Amino acid sequence: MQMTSSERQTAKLNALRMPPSLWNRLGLPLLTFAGFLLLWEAIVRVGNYPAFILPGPGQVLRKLGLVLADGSLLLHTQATLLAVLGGLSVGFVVATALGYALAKSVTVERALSPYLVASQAIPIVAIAPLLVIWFGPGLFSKVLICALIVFFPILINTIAGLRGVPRELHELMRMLRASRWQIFTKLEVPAALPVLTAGLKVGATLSVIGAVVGEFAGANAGLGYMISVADGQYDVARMFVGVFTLAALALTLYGLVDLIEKRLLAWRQAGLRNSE
Amino acid sequence: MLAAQQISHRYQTAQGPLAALDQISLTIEQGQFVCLVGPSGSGKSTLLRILAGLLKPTQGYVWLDGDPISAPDSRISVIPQQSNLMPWRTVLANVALPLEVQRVPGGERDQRAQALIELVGLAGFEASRPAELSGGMAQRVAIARSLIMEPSLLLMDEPFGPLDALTREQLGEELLRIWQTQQSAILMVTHSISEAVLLADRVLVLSQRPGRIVAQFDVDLPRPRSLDSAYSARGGELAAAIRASLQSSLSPTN
Ligand SMILES: Nc1ncnc2c1ncn2[C@@H]1O[C@H](COP(=O)(O)OP(=O)(O)OP(=O)(O)O)[C@@H](O)[C@H]1O
Ligand SMILES: [Mg+2]
Repeated sequence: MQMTSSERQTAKLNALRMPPSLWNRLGLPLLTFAGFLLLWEAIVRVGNYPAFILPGPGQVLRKLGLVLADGSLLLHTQATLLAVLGGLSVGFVVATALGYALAKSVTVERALSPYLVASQAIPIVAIAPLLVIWFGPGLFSKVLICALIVFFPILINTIAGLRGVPRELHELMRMLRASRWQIFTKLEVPAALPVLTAGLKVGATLSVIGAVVGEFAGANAGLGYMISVADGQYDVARMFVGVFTLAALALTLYGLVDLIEKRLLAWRQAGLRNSE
Repeated sequence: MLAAQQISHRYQTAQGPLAALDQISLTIEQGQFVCLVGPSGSGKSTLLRILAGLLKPTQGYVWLDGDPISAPDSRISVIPQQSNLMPWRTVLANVALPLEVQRVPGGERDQRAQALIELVGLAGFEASRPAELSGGMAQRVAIARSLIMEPSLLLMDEPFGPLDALTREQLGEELLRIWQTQQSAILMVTHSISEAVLLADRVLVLSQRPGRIVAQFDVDLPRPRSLDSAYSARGGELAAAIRASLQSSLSPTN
């Protein structure tokens, strides 16, 4: 039967009003994951690969049980998480502060932007070993590497967010004779927030990469360290455990930032619903 | 109350100086409702920005109750041509913003904002966001917000610009009712002649760029007015006269 356009409209509205069911949100990804595991197992069986080339899901799962039991996975995850969060926080604070200065002052922008852009041409992999030599294999060098890698996207988004504040709103605050601080808290922060949280999302996943890069360059703990040690021992199952844990870590962080964003930007939901 | 003397303004553009206003003088008495009509680009928004202290004219002065105006003043409120509600704030928080900036305590703030929301007929929408409002409702919020500081002069730049004719008329009538409860004088830019006749005590006609005041009309329709007064015989006469003077200001021989 054909739907009239108004019926379609209502159906669309109803679909929007109903929260996506648990099945859609969790069941579907779990199903694809199960399919992925089956495919993996099939490849291992058909190719008859030895465990030091491609271990099957069962072997990886057993390894996971092992590293969970001896506490090593927790230890390494903790080390990486610390570096990721530390680097993200440091990078965020420095990038937003500098971004504010760059967005507000033409002089600061002229003086610094060539260096900032040029710094992006240097791959972080190239300077990570240097930082490890200078600052040691401990947490500090990892935080630094994470901070460096998240710095640029957050900086760019801070500037874009601030530049995007509508002129009419700046003029409104001027007419109300708001102080600089009031302009910052009541206008610039909320107006730039959507773009800023987008930068933070990118930063969260990049920070995980930064931690691994740092741990590869030289470390005594962390998931990257665990992977590179397992690599030396042809313990591919352990490498898989490390990779999956990293992915889970990145996914969790991303989800967390997404959640914070939805909380902070609840007001946008109204607009989005209506523009549908 | 408000006096502007010999105001001229030239914008500096990439193509050289551009004369937007030419020797504008006007006065607005306390509580008066003045409408400003003129062709597009004649400098109406420019004049409003100058009167609001947002823009420094290249020549001339503005006084409010004897004080020279060269920066935004709390006695003057502006509703600009472009909507400027904060999309992340609720209606209540948008209306209360000026008081928040003045650090008025929360309880009193909300109470005064609430009263104005009721005055503009938006009771029940306090918690809505601007994106959930119609164009006319958003303009009511802007009006409520600009009234909260109890300004002695309200400058409105085509506040009903993007709205349809019926909504405009209805909002126009409501604006009259609101204005009668307030002490504010209003200077309103409009491109609707019938709207000007309905609302104003006096209508100023601006010429093509650079804007000069080419005519003034006293609208002597009795108050309180309704739509009927704008469509009355006298209202029609005035509208025709204003239209004629607008047209003559547009003709190339002028
Ligand atoms: N910031 C600016 N810089 C340069 N020129 C400007 C600027 N603002 C306005 N102008 C020019 O000044 C003239 C008058 O502009 P204004 O916005 O005051 O006109 P208006 O009467 O409000 O027009 P409309 O009815 O279309 O809103 C126009 O020719 C415009 O191009
Ligand atoms: Mg204008």
